[in-house]
Amino acid sequence: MSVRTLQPSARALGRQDRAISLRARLLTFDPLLALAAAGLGACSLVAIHGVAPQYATRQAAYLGLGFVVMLAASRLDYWRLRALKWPIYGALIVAILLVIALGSRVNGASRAISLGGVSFQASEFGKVALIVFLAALVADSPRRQSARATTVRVLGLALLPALLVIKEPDLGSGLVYLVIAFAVLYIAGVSARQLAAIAGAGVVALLLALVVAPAIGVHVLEHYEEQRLTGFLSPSQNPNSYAYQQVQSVIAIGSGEKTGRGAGATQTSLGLVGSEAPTDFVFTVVGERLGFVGAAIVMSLYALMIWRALRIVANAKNLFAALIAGGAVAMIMCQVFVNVGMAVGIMPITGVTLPLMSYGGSSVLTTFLTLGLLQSIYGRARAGNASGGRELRF
Amino acid sequence: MIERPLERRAPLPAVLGRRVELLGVLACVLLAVIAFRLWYLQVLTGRRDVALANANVIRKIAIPAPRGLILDRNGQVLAGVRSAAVAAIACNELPGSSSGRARLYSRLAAALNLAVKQITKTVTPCDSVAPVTIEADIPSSALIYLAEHKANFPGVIEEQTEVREYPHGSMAAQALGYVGELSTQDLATGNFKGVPAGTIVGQDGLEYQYDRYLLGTDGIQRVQVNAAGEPTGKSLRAIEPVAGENLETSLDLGLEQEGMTALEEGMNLAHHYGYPGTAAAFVALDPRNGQVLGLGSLPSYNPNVLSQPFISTSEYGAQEAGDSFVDRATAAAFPTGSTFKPIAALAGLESGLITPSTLLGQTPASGCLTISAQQFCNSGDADYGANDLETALEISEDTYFYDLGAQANARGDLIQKVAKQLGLGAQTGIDLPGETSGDVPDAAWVSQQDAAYRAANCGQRKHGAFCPTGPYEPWTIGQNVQLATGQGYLLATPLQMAVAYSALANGGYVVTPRIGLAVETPSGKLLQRLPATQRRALPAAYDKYLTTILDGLHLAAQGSSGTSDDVFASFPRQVYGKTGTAQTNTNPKDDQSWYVAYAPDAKRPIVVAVTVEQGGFGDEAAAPAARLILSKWFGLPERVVRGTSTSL
Repeated sequence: MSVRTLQPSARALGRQDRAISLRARLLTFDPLLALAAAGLGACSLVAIHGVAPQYATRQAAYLGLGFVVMLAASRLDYWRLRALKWPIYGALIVAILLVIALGSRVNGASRAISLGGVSFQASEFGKVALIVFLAALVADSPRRQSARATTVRVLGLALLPALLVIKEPDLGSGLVYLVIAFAVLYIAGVSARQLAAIAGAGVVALLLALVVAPAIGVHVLEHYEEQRLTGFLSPSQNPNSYAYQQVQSVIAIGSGEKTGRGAGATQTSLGLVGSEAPTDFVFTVVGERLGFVGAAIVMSLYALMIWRALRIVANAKNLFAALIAGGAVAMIMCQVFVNVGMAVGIMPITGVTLPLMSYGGSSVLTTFLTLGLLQSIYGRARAGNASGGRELRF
Repeated sequence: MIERPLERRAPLPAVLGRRVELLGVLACVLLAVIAFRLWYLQVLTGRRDVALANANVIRKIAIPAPRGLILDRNGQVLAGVRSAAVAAIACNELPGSSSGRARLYSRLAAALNLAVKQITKTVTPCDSVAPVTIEADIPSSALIYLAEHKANFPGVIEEQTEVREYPHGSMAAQALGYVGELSTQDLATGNFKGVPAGTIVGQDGLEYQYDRYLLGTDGIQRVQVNAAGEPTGKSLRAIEPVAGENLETSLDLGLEQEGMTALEEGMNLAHHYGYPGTAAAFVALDPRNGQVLGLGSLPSYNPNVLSQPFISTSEYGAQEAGDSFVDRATAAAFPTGSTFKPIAALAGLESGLITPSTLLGQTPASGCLTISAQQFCNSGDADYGANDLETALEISEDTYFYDLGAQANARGDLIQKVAKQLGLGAQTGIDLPGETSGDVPDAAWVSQQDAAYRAANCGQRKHGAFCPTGPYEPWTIGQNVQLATGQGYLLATPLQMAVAYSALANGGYVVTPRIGLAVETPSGKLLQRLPATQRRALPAAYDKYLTTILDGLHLAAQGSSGTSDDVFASFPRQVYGKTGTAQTNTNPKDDQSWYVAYAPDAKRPIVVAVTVEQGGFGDEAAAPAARLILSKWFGLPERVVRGTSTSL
């Protein structure tokens, strides 16, 4: 607090207090992170309005609600979540089991449960739940517990929901869960040797699921998921195959050229990338309608978001915060690069949504919730700095 | 904020900073990869993808261009277009089940009198964008039936299309030709370069010859479709078809019609005199410039039937009966008989072998000459004695020309040279496909034919393999004697004879016959005059002999002893004409009946050549037909005047 050198009037004093508290509040909120989120939300509306106008209003509502969620979460004291880690984990598992048991089947997959007319995709919210849970698990691990034991616990407890989600089947979310677990271990300082072993095991598991098991007649994944994962290696002209969708997505993005085809876009609007244009292929819509310029703007906004998130990880004032932020940044990076990589034809189709861009309430709200947590960590770190904590370096 | 107990706070790992930096590097690398990929796709190779994207969603449907008209010299339509109903199948409206479709096809087959198999074949593969035509030119009764039972025919739609129509049916069918889908074989011929397979193109005659003008350019309807191939309903700019250009011809509809009647009349007369009279052809030329005024061949076919998109084998066979596709006026060559005599005469005169007053043809007895131990006799062994040229032409005295042929043989190819100068033995160059060149035989020609025959039929057997004697005997004086009367190996088309007579009549110019005169827009505006007909002058020295020959021809047609006097004596105009009765083998029933005539007129002179296969004497079948054509041309009463002369 500043030292008062004058005797101001009571009214002026009140004004000053309000100004100070506003500044304090601004200080505890990363405006650039919020700007990136707002920009991506706007891009999402432009893209969705172009390709599927009937979804634009709902997406706007989700984005608006999401912004409120982010602001609310930023005010939340994330520290309290630490005590709730087991209830959070329990809720996560129960929700996924409920979806599997009762979920409405869409395209042969039960990924959502309807609660009073609102479709609720548990695997999306599960991402942020898992981040909080794993961060708390690592942060609370007793000092005497060996690093290896912590690693095994984290992996084991992450694998359970991941496998359940893959069984839904929602392969994309399951993979994101595994990436989150890996990122939490990475940020927690697990040795490079252990991380390499985990990564190696992951590759072996993938090969087993995709190559060995199908060869002996065991299908770990749904047939279409196998096709999607392997399809991008052999582009197809069969319009019913997912590889075809990807080929068409690449054509769509290419045809956008520098400034996009605007309303003349046909690839995405006429269904050549399937019915997923507003969801999984929303980046294709941007690339086709707005061209290189539009795609570059979207990627720049993600770059901004990732930069701010990494900054929050680096400046976290305790391990729990660093782990939450690390898990969040891994989640965002994973989804952005897997989804965009799929759209431009350099990654397999895994059904991962593009944060804030893809149409869908669960995905949008989950991302905003994650951003809200990041804001909360940012704010606490700033507050801590003011009282002699770690310095901001960037 | 409430400060928590420090011991509960787990320490931050020492490597956190490094690890966050590494994560940042990873993010930068991934961003760079995405950026380069986007740059490559959108900036470097975007053009290609634009084309791919457009091709993905735009289907092109051809809009057929209306074919240009073929008009006669007065603008009368010889080949036109008319609107016809077409039954088509819109594939996206077909019943979903295959049994439902099968039932629909069998109902449709019954309604349209088609084979179920044909419908199935036509409809597969079925594109939901462009309806597939299954039958064109549906009779109105079937149309009404389909309309009344619409519910029974889901997906069957009626469309209007323009089809070729030949309002005069089989008249001059071989000259006009017909149209049909361009087949893949035709693509290889090069005449239809750049025309897509399946386009309706000319298959014969003028339709084929001038297809590039008549064809027009098909329009393109562009339809946007979605990924499932269904039209989105978005309207795209269509490229309108460009109608074909009209072809103005030299043909005269009235003369053409009369010509066909005359041919039938000629065949009827042949029948009357006991000959088979199986086929006939005529050509009418303007001798000044070679413009073809009329051209016909019987038996003929109906091009309206042949131009249908779907024609059954039996229908096709019926049209083809009697080798109707052969244009006997230009694509078939026959021995000419005595119509060749003026040509032989000109050869004799120009070579100095004879003068107009030279007397030839004296026979020792019984109207026969013995040349090289062979007997050559007048028709009916008549003995006319020695005559001058004009009289020999008037009475068509064979022995005169036998004499001439025998004498000419000693001097080489005198007759052959003049015959070739007059256009025999080579294509006249008429603007019709399939013209034949005929034959003008001489010693070299016979040995060449024999060698060719042996090469084709005897093979390369060793040790003196047996080889049958071919049909070509070595050249003898007897063959030249035959040639002088238009017999032997000599073959010529009616068109060639008309060209040769035109040269005699027009003062010595061999014309290139021509049917196409000009190309005009659908609205009748002249676009282009087709190249004017070429004329080739005979040597100037021939001029003074032409009068003598024409005098002889005039006597033959209208002189008191003329061979066709009974047909043309009563004709109120001057006619120069010659009968021909060519033996094609030993059976007199097979004699080829000929008449070639020239009728002078200051404004509209005409040369007509008529031939009737197995028609008997020239005066019996061909001459009356020629008179009918001339009567029509000069607006005289068209009267069949029978001839009974049994002179050749």
